[in-house]
Amino acid sequence: MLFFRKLINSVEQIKVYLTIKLFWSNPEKKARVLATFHGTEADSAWQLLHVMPKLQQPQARYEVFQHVLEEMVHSELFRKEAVTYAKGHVITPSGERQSLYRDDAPIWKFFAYCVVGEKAALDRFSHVAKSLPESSLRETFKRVLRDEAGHVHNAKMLAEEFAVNPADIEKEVSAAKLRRLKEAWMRQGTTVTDIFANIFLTCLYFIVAPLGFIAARQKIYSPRHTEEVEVRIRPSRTLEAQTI
Amino acid sequence: MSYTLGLSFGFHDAAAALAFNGEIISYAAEERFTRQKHDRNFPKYAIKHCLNVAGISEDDLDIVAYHESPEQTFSRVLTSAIAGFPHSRKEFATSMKAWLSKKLWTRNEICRRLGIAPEKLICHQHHLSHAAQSFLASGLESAAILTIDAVGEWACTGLFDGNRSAETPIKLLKTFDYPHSLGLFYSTMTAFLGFIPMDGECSTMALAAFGTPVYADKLRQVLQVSSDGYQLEQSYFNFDQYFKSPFSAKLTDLLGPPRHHKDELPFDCLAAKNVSADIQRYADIAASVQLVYEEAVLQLALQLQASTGAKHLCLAGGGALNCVANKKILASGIFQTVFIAPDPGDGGAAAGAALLSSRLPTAKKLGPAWVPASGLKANANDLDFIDLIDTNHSKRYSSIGISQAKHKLKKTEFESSEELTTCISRELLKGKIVGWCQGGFEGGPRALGNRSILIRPDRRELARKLSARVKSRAAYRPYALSMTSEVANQVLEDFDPNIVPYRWMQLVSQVKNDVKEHVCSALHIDGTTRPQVVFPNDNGPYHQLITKVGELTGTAALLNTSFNESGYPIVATAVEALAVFSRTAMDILIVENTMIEKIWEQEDHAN
Repeated sequence: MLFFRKLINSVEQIKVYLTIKLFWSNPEKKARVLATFHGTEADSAWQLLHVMPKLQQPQARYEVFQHVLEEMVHSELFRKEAVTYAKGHVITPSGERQSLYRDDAPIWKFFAYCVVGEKAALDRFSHVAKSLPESSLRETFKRVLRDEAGHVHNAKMLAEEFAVNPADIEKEVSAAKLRRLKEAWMRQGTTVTDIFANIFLTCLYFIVAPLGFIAARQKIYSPRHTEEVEVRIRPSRTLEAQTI
Repeated sequence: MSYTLGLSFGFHDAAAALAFNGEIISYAAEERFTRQKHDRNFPKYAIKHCLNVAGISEDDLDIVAYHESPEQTFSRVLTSAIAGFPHSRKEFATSMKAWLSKKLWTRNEICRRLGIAPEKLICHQHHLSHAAQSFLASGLESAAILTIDAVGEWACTGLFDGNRSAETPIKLLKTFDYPHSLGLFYSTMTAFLGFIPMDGECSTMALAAFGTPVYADKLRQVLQVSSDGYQLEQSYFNFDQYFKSPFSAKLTDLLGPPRHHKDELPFDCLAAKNVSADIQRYADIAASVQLVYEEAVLQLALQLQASTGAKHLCLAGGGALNCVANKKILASGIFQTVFIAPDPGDGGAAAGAALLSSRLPTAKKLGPAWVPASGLKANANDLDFIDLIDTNHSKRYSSIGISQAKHKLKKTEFESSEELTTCISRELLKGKIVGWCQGGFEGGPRALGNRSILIRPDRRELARKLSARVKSRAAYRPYALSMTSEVANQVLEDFDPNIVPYRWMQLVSQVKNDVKEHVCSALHIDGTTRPQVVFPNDNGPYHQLITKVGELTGTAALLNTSFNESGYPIVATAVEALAVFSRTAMDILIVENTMIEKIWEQEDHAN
């Protein structure tokens, strides 16, 4: 088991190293990845804010609040780095916010998921920091790494505090790992589908657009006729007078 | 009983509104719940909130109204993408992916997610939703209606005649269709000036005050205004190849090179500064853009008045957020009054759609059918962990570039709002920066004293500190001024209590010369301010606070800015407010009757 873990870790390290060497030499691509990290950390802060009302104990709420502040700082650090490398404005990915668990799910399940998520971030950022040359960006990753280790620990403590049966946590951690694996698989699937969709739509474009572009341009760019515009009450081509 | 849920999502500023018998009883933008600025996704949290306010479930909804027709919008997107052949491949692939996979099936998505039958769903025209959000919420019996937007289905600008007694209460007179869009013109020029289009338009408007409109003649070739209205000369734009750039090389030839977004803009609205000719050019372009935009809007207002003979104008659409142009319309005297809803943009279109499908309300003299602050309430009990906060660590949580000296937190609870406002007015006078959370959050983009950051308005240095150490805000962007209705006539040159948008920061106004020094930090470089006139019935605790400040200073006014950090929406909950408070150099946080104060332990930071 340990051997497999080490093997997976090494493969991941090589993957990150190659990605950085091959793709991060392009500042735009680097900025896009950093903007994704910015979005991910902001989402983590939101997830924690979202579960806070479910916590009754001030101590637990305090722990989570500290975690929120750190995620906010990380998000901002990544945004700042993305701005440094981006040629244009940094566009943060803004998908639909989905809470990790249903509102009626026990809170310890959320923290069990956090253990897995934070551990994954810790590993990923650790590989990135090792692969980067000395730079402000590397310092940013090191700074984030220092906090992430604490996050894993805190999430574990909170999960243990709220779980009725500690053995359930291990089960949920395994389930969360599977779920994340499935999500990663789905993401890969979406990326591949995206490539095929792009190819298909590009072909479609070069088949359909030559047939229709003159008509489309006429529809959009035809000059306005003064007589037409001067009519005081003129139903538009898109809007019709409507009765409420 | 008749509940109508209005929805707006898919492009930007998703929102939900609940109408009951013709009045909006709850309205909320999705971004406040998700902390994603201009969130465009399905507004599930806003819907949940609206239903909770009324204490109903999805099953109790009579009608669900969507703000636009997805099919007609798709036809415009497809036509535009094909028209750009052979240069619009990327635009075609990207938009078709989005539309064929999701947006075209919006009707299905709404029915599925709300669990309603398709017969319950109505999709209105986008500009009709805008027209309704203003006219039906205005309480006016009749009015001319002008909607200015980037683009709806095809329409970009709409002229309507509103009459509650007529068979057709909102009657379309004319539209200006895509690509002839005033909104797209302003947004494209915003991009030219290096700001983010559909977000940085307020920066263009702010920058305009520093310039002279020397490029106006050139821009009149781009936006051509005539007695018929206006049209955009398309050779200056690339609307069908927006991935490349929204403007063409011809616009660059006309105006010179565009500004790079990282180029500094060293203007300061609190003090005139000499800047290089290159930098001044940007302000001059902004001033010219604003001027030709105003000319077009005034022409439309004239045309509309001639067509309808109306005394009142209702404005809506993103264009109605241009408070300088709004004021020009009012000052022109074309109409006696102008009404603008609290959220005139696409979010507010959700309220318009809801009102269109709701029972037609009877006209009121004044008092819009719209509760401006029906959002989630801030609860001080959520801050029960405040005593546990270890402030020795606070520095590492500070926003980037904002340092905070060593401090402790002190919590005080007040028995009454009278006690609270007395204490806070004194603290404000000492130069403290106060975060103010009371009741539900505001519906629109403006902070109206429910989620506001406040300072006294007569200290320029304090405003600079607020910009640098709390808001991370460019110095050329002015702040708004809140004042009580009792003193508005003494502060503003031309205040009229019948002009409702003064309550919601929708108009700029000149400040009287003898008061200028008392409110100097909330003035723009041209001596104007964006006032919020607070009536006692609008927001009781806030009115009380400003009154108390007035008793101490002689001017019942406060500088008011939204309670958020740069790049994020205004805070919704007490915990979010505490997070912003912890990360910035704010001194005091108020949530309901609870005060949390930073007791600074180092001299250099004490105010």
